[in-house]
Amino acid sequence: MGIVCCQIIRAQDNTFYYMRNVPQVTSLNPANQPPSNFFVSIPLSVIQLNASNNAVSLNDIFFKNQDDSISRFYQTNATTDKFLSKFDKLNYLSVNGSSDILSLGFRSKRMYFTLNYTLHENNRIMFPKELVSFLTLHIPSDVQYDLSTFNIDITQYQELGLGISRQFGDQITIGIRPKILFGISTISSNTHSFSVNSDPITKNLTFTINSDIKVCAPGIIIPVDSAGAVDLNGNFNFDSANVKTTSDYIHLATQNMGLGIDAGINYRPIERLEFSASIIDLGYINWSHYSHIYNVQGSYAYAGAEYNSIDSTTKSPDIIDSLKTNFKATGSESSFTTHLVPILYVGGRFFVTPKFDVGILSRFEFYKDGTKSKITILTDWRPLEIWNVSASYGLLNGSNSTFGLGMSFRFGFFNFFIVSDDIPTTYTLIKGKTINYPMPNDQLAYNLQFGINIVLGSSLKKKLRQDQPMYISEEY
Amino acid sequence: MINNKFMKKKYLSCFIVLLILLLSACQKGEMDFNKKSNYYDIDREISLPLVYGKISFDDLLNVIPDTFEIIDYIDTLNIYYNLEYDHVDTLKMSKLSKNISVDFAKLFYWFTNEFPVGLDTKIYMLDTIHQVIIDSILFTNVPGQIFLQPAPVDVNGIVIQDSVKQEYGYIDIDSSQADNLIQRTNRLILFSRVYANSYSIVKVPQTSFLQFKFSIDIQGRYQGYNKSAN
Repeated sequence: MGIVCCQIIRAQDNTFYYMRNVPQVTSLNPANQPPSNFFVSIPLSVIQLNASNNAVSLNDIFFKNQDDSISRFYQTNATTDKFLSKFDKLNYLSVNGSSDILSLGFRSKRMYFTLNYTLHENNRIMFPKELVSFLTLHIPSDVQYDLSTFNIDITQYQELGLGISRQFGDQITIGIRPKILFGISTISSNTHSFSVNSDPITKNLTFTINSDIKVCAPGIIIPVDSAGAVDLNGNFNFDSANVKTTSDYIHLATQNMGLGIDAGINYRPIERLEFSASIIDLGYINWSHYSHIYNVQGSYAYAGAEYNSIDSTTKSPDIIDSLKTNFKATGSESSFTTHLVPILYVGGRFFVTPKFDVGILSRFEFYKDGTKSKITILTDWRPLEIWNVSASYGLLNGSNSTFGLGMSFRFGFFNFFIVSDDIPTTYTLIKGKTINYPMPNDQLAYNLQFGINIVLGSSLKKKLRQDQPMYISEEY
Repeated sequence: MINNKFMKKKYLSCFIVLLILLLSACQKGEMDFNKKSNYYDIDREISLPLVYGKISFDDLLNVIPDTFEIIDYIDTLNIYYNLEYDHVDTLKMSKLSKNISVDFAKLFYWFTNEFPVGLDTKIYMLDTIHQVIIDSILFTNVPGQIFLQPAPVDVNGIVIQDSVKQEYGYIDIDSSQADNLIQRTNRLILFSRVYANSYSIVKVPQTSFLQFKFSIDIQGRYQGYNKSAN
């Protein structure tokens, strides 16, 4: 499993790949051409949400006892050990989301043009198993926890993409989408060392860290002291002196630029068979304004509660004040680059009937330190021209299999779609005080994508009438 | 030529069956969250610093008993008469869980005592219902040795601050003592004896202090129902 810092990954969306009635399917393969001649999304209605981790699902947190009562994982040694055993040496927790502020597209003969303006939010924490062990109060004497793989990566950016797809003959469609990326803000760490030691004699818990932090917060002035180090006691003020007008704000939101590109191809050697391949999110963002690289170093020893002789009470030390005192962030304003995580899709599908096809799709995510792959079996059914159902089943992804389901409807000019790549295959029914609800079993990821588009020129029959007035076919 | 009506019905049926299978037939048991268990069975070995602090002479002034007499509080020296002073206090034990069992505990201590008075402390565990002393914790097991040594003084009875050394040690609390403390004791008797050194008059610089730190190594188990946990 590739875990990486300073790379921006988009959410899982395999089920979506072959939902050709949904205009946004072009985002995964720019070669795809939606059936509608024109579409425009309802602003901010197209939303994708994803939350995942590699280790525990909800049913690893709650356990059913023999007497039908429910325990939490920390209540017994057995359940705590079972909980801890779920974690790998290195783990992640990620929450991602994106929303199309606007996307539109139109057909021009054999070509299809799309334009999208999308907001992306990516948050990821990487952490070692030792951190979980420490938090469950496994603190024997003389223990040393190595937490140096702990890292955070938080990025918000905007994407402005222009897609062009063109059919070459009846068999090949090629698409490309260059993108301009505008970084909104980011913070990411590259930890060199991070440890918690329990001193064998004093029992003091000593936290030591040495990490490089890349941060870009446009419009925010980071206070520094006379030595150039971040003054953690200072105020983080907005740069109101330089950001006053609307154009200043627009400039602020667009000055950290990057470039990206998506490309794809569909090849249909015979009428019932289609192969496709696409690579998306080849790109980077150059953070050059209000960007800083700091090295954070320090050590803090927790020596217990402090006795206050004035009122004979004890109080825990103020952790924040102690951190400010013991940790120094030195560095300067400096530009840096973050990269998107490129994703390669390779797949093929067989049209069993004109309205029902089955396929297979491989997804490869290319991290700096490795590749993560997933193979998904897909099926897409279009029982009616206005209704499209897709289902997927994930295989060979190194962990649990996943089941995905997506639906698309068209009512008049409106297209609605909803897709999830991670629908639980099994669940436990939870009886609450007032309502019952399902708790997914072994579900490490939650994923949902939905949206509303206005579509014009989607009717296949109308198109065929225009093209072939003497014969109406529903074939393919 | 495929019969479209037939195919529609066929695949519609397939999908409906598939959806029913996937969405309704995949329930694996149920959990009643109205029946949350408050049973705990956990053991841990925890090594943690507990408390540290510094007691200055000014702090002590507030608690100096009548048997001591301050005869000079103007200059930097304060003078005490040499008396042994016993202080006995009782402490009601807060209700500890009967479900805790301790395999072992070591209470580590560090003292830097710049006062020319020492301290010996004993803790007696009392069962007030049966009016018996159940057990005791002695801070030193060596007869005649006091727990906290007074600071060394020169021939004039003045504390030699440079000669003050940090004292370090630990108090072993075995499983039996811990059980008695947790399970049976409802009141503690704290017996403290303050020793001065052999001089009839001791002189304490106002800058003197008593620095202390306590840490603990404990391995124990909590097994039982904790009603306050839920």
